[in-house]
Amino acid sequence: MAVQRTELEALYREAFPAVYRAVLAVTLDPEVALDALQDAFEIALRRPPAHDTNLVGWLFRVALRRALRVHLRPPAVSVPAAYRDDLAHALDRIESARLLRLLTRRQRVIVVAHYFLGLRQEEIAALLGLRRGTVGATIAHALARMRQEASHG
Amino acid sequence: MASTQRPLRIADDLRSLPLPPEDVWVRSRRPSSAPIGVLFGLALLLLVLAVVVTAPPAAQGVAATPVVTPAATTKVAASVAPRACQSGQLPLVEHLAFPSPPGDAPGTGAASPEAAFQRARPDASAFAISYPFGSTRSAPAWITAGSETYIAELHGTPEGNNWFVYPARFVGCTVP
Repeated sequence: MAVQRTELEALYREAFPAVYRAVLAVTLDPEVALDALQDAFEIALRRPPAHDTNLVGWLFRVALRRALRVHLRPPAVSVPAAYRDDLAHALDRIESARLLRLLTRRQRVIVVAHYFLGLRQEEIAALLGLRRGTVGATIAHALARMRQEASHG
Repeated sequence: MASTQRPLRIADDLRSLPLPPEDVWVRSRRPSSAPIGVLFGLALLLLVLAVVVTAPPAAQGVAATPVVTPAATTKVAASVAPRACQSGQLPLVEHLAFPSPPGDAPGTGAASPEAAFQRARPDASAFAISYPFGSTRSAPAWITAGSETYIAELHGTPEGNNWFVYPARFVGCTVP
């Protein structure tokens, strides 16, 4: 059964902080992340996901797809300059943000989905159309890269 | 020599990333609907002003009274900040509840953070207000009532009934 609009917006707002930060950690661009998430919500309104859907995972997947198409269309939103500055400081200050920049985009997606959103490897595999073994191996390689850099940093 | 491994704090680190303002979390509605809302708000404001201006002098005092007046028995405790952030830092707050769509409309709130809180929580007999986000008239206010915490925000100009209160929690300190 589909969720109602008001219920969906409430769920969306509840999920927003986690999913936005996750998409941001992958794209490293607040406007791309925000635009993608707004798009995902619009899509959810038109075709609401079923009640038993993991909304965080669903929003993450849909928003990611939109975000990775950004070269086709520039973001339709702009964030306040004060927020952009605040975020830039935070991204410079936070070690994980620095380490995530060293990874490939696919590695970032998988690491963020697993260690930040808490998705299981099989969920990520289904989300991205990959084999579970590929997800596991990608996580191992990415963590090794991050730990190597962290130990030198 | 074996290198020491520092633990990765991916979740904690990413959780500290600041969020954009809540009013941009959802794309604003079609442009055609915005002017209608603005016109409706202006019409309402003009109607209220007309009532105030045309009311007899004895009634004007009543009409000019803020929407919510703090009860005489209310005790406003000393200001309590969410938590002392270091100099140069600002407190980071997360809203715990949101108004139903389309959200709170300017002009339908209260005249001050105190009045807004009284309207939201008429049963609260004591609360504390502080201004950790700045000292301007439009800076949000932080309200503590027992174990509950709220943020009062201004949607519009400080002159109107534009203050609204939302349950919120203090997350941490951030560098602006």
